[in-house]
Amino acid sequence: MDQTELLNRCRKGDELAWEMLVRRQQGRVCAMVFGYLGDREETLDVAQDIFVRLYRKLDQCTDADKFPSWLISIVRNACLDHLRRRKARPPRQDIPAAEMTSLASSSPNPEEQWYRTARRRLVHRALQDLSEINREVILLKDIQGLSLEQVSDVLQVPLGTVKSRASRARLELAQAITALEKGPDGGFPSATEAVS
Amino acid sequence: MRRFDDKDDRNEDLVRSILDRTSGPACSRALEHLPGLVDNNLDSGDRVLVQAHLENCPGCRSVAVVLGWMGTELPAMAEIDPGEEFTAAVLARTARLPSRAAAAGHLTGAAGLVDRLGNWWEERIQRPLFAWQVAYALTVLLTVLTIAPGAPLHGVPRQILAGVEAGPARLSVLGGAFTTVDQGVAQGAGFLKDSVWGGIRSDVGRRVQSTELARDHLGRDVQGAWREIRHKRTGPALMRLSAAGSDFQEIWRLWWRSNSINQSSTAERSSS
Repeated sequence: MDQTELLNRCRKGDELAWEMLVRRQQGRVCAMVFGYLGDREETLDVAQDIFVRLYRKLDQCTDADKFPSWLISIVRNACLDHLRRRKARPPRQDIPAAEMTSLASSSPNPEEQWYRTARRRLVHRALQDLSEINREVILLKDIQGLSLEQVSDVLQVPLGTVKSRASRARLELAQAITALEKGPDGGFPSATEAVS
Repeated sequence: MRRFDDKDDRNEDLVRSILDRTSGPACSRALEHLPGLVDNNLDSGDRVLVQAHLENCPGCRSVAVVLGWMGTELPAMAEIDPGEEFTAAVLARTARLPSRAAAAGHLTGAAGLVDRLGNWWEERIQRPLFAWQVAYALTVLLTVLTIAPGAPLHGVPRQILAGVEAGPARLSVLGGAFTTVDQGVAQGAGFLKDSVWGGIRSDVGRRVQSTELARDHLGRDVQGAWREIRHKRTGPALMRLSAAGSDFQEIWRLWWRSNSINQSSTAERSSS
């Protein structure tokens, strides 16, 4: 079923269509929220809230083509609100970035899976070290695959700023990952953590 | 072989010491070009120079390696499987919300407006900034109500402040503030000739009237306690303060009893 029909059915209250929409979008929404927050429990809570918001606001998105960037805006606003609240109430623990990255791996080879988990863990830890704008550029452009124009629309910053930030953000992320790799534990997960 | 390595190391040391004494290390320039090198959009001259630098600089080389695998790894991180429990939890939460079918079919006019307002409020109140905005708006409203000429509460803060500065012996000043509040309520009721506002006004009037005697007692007891304290008679002062506490309790009780009387009489009227 194409996106336009799915959205129309959701707006009319078709529960099966809504379930399909949730299943289609939950992976993307959770990945984005995890990129912003870096904490598994918070990610699942905030992602649920986002779907409740989405359910209530579905009427506002009339153009199915604009649905992905509209959804990303909702996700971004919810995450930024949550981060503002978190400033007053710091997270309970250090960022357990490996917890959720292991869920995403689909590789059948345990060794390859271990390296993939290690890399994703490094990326998530390094993302938390970037400035807010650089982190968002990485999340939207390099991870979610939005075009520079779409990133500019979502972030509401000039296109030129996004263009100049794009390479710089990628380089900063690579440098942050390199620094983590040289850290005391090399940034790699334990064997049990990686294959769980 | 060993001697060749040693020679290479010596050459590298020589290059570094020359760079240190002249232009400084070229790493920052090389790093600037790395994304272009990975994306294959450097011109040939820059490409040769950056590749030559990478051959001799392990730090920049490791960054280049990371940039290389990031190109394939980042897009693969676009989705995370949160598990079947997540889907079930979302569906359970949205099932408790008003049905979209009902919203699409029936909630029009005033009911639809109330529904939209409810959604708006529920969404807004979760935003940390919104609480500050509401507090700011209420402060402005209170300021306008108490400062603007002709406002219902105009002059009340000054009178309360005067009463506080004068001490409990001049509690009659506070009586003036009560009168001003009553007048303000009356003026407000005049502006808003609305049945709800009229009901509120009469309710407040009834409450003020029912507590009048107890307020007089409270004033007298506080004045008496203040007098005893000034004459350093602790025992009588404590007794007076105790009596004032009872008076306050009585005012509180009468205020709320007035409400319950009002509610019960309304219920009786509606049942009859």
